Amino acid sequence: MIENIISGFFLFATIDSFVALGIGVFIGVIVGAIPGLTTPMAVALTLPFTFTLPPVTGILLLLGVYKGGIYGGSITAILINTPGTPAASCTVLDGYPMAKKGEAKRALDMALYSSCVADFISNISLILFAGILAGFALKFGPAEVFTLIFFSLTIISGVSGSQLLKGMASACLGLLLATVGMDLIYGTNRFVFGQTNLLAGLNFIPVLIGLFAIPEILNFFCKKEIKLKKNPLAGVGATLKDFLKCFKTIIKGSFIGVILGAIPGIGAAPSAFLSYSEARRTSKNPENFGKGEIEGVAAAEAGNNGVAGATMIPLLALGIPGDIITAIILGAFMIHGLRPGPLMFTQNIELIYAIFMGIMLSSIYLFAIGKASIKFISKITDIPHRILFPIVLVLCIFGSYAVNNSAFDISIMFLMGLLGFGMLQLNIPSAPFLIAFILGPMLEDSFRQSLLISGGSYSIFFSTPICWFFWILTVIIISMAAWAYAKSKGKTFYENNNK
Amino acid sequence: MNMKSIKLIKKDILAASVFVFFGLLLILLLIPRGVVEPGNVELAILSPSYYPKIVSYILILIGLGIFIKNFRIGFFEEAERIEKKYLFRMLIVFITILAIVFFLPMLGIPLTSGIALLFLLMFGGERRPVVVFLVSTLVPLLVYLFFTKVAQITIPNGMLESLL
Repeated sequence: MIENIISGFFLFATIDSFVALGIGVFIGVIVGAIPGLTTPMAVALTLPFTFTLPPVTGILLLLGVYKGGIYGGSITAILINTPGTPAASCTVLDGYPMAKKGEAKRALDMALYSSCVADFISNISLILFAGILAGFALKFGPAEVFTLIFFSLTIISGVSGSQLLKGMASACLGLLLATVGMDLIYGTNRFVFGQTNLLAGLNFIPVLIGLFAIPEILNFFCKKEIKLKKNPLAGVGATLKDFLKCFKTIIKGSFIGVILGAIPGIGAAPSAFLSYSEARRTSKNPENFGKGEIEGVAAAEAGNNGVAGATMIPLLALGIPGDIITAIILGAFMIHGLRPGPLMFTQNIELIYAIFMGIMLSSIYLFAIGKASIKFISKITDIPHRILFPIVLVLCIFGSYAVNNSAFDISIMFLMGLLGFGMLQLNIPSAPFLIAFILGPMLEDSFRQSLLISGGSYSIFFSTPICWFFWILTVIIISMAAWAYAKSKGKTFYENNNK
Repeated sequence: MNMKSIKLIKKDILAASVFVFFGLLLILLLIPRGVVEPGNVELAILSPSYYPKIVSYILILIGLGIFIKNFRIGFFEEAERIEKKYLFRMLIVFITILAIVFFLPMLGIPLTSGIALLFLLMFGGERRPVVVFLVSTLVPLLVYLFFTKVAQITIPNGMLESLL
């Protein structure tokens, strides 16, 4: 074993690998921070550059882009309310309110710290528990995935604040919007109405940009300039005290990310939402969540980045790509004549060790590059809104177009923007809409696949201990939310009667 | 503040009406017309319309729930007062958005963005001509160059096709 580790070290310890990994992380952070440029797109665009590189260097370049991209998505989410990736949409919930309070640097710092810690834990888990986690992940069939996603939706109660019913209705609208496009089981159209652009459904990015960035821009132009409140924390980064306060949340979020990341097809978004929900549930200040709570940023980013190393578990241990990015990385392995899976651990173990070493180094790169970029990026909030918002609008237009090279997506973005603005005027929370829109396809697919397997019997949703585990958690969370809601409404009613 | 232009909207009731109306619209019109039912569906719960129908019914129920809650508690949230001046600004911004969508295929993304930027900067209150000029020309150009040259994404140039 020692020999293999030493061989792996020599395979990894080349200038090319160090440089490639650094460049990869840098590209990833930049791409992740630009709305419309997605991490899978960046990984795919980088793939041709790996053809001429040695296998380890090439794969580390791709992994660098992947890890940088996941963190980069949080930058614009915090600064301009425009998440660069679907997973970063959870970071928006508290990151942007913090930026509005003048605490952008603090939020960015915390996002970076929690991202690095989560990434590190995820990498360690990949190295130590690949076999165990891969085995556990394979126990997740459609019924288990359905109960998991259903449980993840309980976060809606948390992000709706005092508007629980409106939040639930908003989530229903998100679920309905997610059904637009071709039905995956029967191949027939739903809500397409002859518009071929809708056949593949609505893309996440224009919907995300439209729902978060556009209402903010419209609000600025329709009202007056929002004056930033004087805040003693303005321009100050996150302190050690902040980090220690959020440490437990970061660790919990990281492990949520590791477990969900190991399940093929789940991805970073449910993990971020679940981590956020858990942090809110156990926080001493749950009422501050959604209003600029630093713990919310830490939870979202820990959950989001916790999947980064873990998605490699099914790929390396079983040869199963869990998402688009790992599918591209699988392609990179195959281009170099390698086939990930159990055999690789016996035939190319030194290569596995070399990749593990590179993955560990990527966390350090992420910290260094992220820290250097925050210094300059946080200055964005100093730009006056009358200049910043029109520029953001231009970025939104380019970004929405770039996802599918489709001008139709720009119209969708504006339409979603108007919807978001309308929701803002009617006090309908838009976060549940977005959560449901992101999780909706997974919820429906797993629901119908389960019923297809069981021949229409609902008993499949109660057939395994994993299903029961998530049902029990769901009941507990809903009961707690209902209790808190009834208590707050009762208090309001009492106060109004006394007046 | 012009009192005539003050409009009080009972937001909860309005939101509930929207939910119930949209839910009914889905059940009665959009799902029957918009969801193509295959002929070989063995189980009703597997049909493409089953899930949207369930969600639509839930939406209606929640809408009704909001109505009941408001009548039971007996108070309405007071909406923000929207001044006429801001309604006018809102209208202008909506027209700008429509103009962007309308002119984009003809003018291309860089030119449309530049014009929109020029207008919105001035509309937003920026009065320094140099800043307006530099931002409205350089920002679309730099973003365009980044997307086309670095990210290798083709951006429609419209009437600037021969120039860019």
